[in-house]
This record gives sequence, C-alpha cells and structure tokens, in this order.
Amino acid sequence: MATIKNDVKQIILEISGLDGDIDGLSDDSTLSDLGFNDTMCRELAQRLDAYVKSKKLGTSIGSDDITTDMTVAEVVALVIGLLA
Amino acid sequence: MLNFFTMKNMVIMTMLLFSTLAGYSMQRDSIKKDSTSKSSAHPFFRNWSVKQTFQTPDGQQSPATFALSIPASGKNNWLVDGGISVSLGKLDNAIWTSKLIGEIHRNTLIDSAQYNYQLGYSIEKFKDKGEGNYSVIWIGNIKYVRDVIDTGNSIVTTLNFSFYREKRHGFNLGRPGYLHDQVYTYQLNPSVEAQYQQYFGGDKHKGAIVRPVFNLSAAIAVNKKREYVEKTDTVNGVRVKRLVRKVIAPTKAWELAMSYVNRYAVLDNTGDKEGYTKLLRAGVNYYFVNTNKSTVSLGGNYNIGSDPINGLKEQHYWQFALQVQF
Repeated sequence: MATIKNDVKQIILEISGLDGDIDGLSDDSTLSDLGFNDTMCRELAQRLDAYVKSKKLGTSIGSDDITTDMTVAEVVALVIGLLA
Repeated sequence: MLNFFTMKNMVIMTMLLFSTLAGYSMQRDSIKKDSTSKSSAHPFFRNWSVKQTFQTPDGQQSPATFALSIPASGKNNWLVDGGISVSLGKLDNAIWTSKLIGEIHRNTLIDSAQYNYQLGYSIEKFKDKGEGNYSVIWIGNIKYVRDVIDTGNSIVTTLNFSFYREKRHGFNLGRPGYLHDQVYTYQLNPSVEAQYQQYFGGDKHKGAIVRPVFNLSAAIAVNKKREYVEKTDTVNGVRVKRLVRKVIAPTKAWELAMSYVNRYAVLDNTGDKEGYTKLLRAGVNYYFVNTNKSTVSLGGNYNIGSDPINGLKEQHYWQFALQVQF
C-alpha cells in the first residue's frame, strides 16, 4: 500500500514539473495547487491508467476520473481502490 | 444621480469591484478540509469562467480587463475586454468539453473606439490517449458577432490548434514550466487558427473572409518565496526534525508577458481589402491573487495592431487596468 502511494505521488510530481520530493507533497494539496490544468489532468489519468493496467489486468482509469479539484490523497485512494 | 459619482465614491466602487472579484476568485479555489467531503468549491463556481477570449485553451493566460470612469459631466469611459462561459459538461469520456460563451470588447479610451459583443458555443478536444510527448488541443467556436461601431453583424467560426508538450525537463508548451529552482515560472503557448467570418447582408460590411492565424503568447514571472514544511523522523530512537520544501506551484509576484497574432485574409470578397493584420501586446503584470484557477492582477501593457473579429481597429496605445481570469 505504501509502495502504491509513493508510486502515485511520484507520477503526480513528475507531471507537475515541480522540484522537490514526495516527502514535501502534502496529501491535502489539490492538483490545482500543484499547477495542474485540465490537459495535465488527462496526462495524469493516462499515466495512472498505464500504471494500474501494469499492476492488475482489467483495471482502468478514464480521462474524466482525474480533475483539478482532487487532492493528492483522493488520487492515491482512487488507484488503491482499483488495485485492492 | 450625478452627485453620487464623486471621486470618493468612484474609489469606493472600484475597491468593492476589486474585492468582489478577488473574493470570487479565492472562493473558487477554496477547499473543504474535512475528510468526509470532496475538496471542491461550490459547484456553481466550477462551471463558470472569465477570461479575455475563449478561442484559446483554458490553460493559457488570457485575463479579462475591466475599468470604468464616470465623470460628473461628459461621457462615461469604458474598458471591458473579456467574456464569460458556462460549461455544459464533458462528452465522450471527457475527451471533449463544451460551453456557452459570451464576450464583450468595449474600449472608449483609445483613438478608434471599440464596441463589439459576441454570443456562441465553444467545444474543446483534450489530449487523446496513446499520443506522444507532443499533443494538439483543438478548440472550435461558432458565434454571432455584433460590431456596434461599424454596425456589422456576422457569424464567425474559428478552429484553433494549440500545442502541448509534456516534459518535466526541457521546454514545455501549453503548461507552466519552472526555471532556476522555481524562482521563475514561464509559459509558452503557440497555436494556429483558421477563421471564417460571414457578414449578413444589408450592413456596412458584406461578404465573407477566411483568415489563417498564427498566435504566440509567452510569459515569464518572478515568483514569491518558496514554502517549507517541518517533518519529523525517528533515527535510532531519536526524533529528528528537518525542513522539507513544500511541493506546491509557486505564486507569481511580477510577470513580463507578451502575445503576438498575425493574420492574413486569404479569401476576402467584402471589398475591404483587409490583407495582413497583426496585434502585438507586451507588458507587465503584478499579481494580487495567483492560483492555477484564478488570477487578479494589475496590468500595464503596450498594444499595437488590430483585431478584426473583436472590432479593434489598427492603432497603438498604452493600457493600465485590473485583469481577472478564473
């Protein structure tokens, strides 16, 4: 579970383009707080879709599953829920 | 009635307008902290947006501008350059999104006055799955345009292709990029567009125009200081505190911004001989509110050129005004 959380946070961090490491990425931060626009959200959805598919067949994340209003914790919970 | 519009009252009204817009912007970004609720502002705020034009992607900085002066005698002066949209939701697994749009462009502070309003529909296609590092965002608009100055009515359709490049390192397009340890934020937004404008019969203008358009906007901002958070680790049974940089999008303080649009009327049977037109805008912004969803800034910029669809005639001028985008 901790590994999945760290992997998701790392993907969010990479797409945001921000410096720092996942230790400084607060669970309460929204994707909007991290500079995400709608296109970046779809890029994140695509990366997470590839991630969940690599972990468990039959899972997927759609383009509208990730929005700028979501927090880091909610994105992590979404992925963990699919892989549970 | 005229006695109400004293200098003191105009200052108060300007402050109220500024506070209202700033408050709206901040409310739009507010989050609920309790674990049982979604971290989103009220749904009412999420579906509306304000910016200068809806022909370019939402991620591009394009703030609307407002200013109004009502002298005790003489004509009122207007500067309203912006529009409002309401989202109609997402289609086809969120690949497409559509919205109703309305724009007004009125400026009586310049040599050749501008007064133009538009109502229409906009549709935007987001990044498809399976594409490479470069993506193209499509935006199509169809709208009714009324030019009050020239007494012209027309239907305009535009199709804009904006470029998006996804890379943590290297040059980004269509999204913010950061330099020198996030001391600076930059954004480059190149796009190409095709415009078709059909005038109604019986007006000053008749016929139709087709214009290919090249658009480049660029900005670089100096950011406010970075934030740090304190983390506590346990090392060999001893609690050790350390400062960790908070991962958050930097907040802009000052920004240099420019945009350049070049058009050519390749097909023109209006008889106006429009030919090449351009619009260059360059200036400085100071941000009071700056998040990814909302900006409130004071801007000073130099403008030279024209914008036929928005009713701006060829001229050059300086402009200092309140700018809002959310």
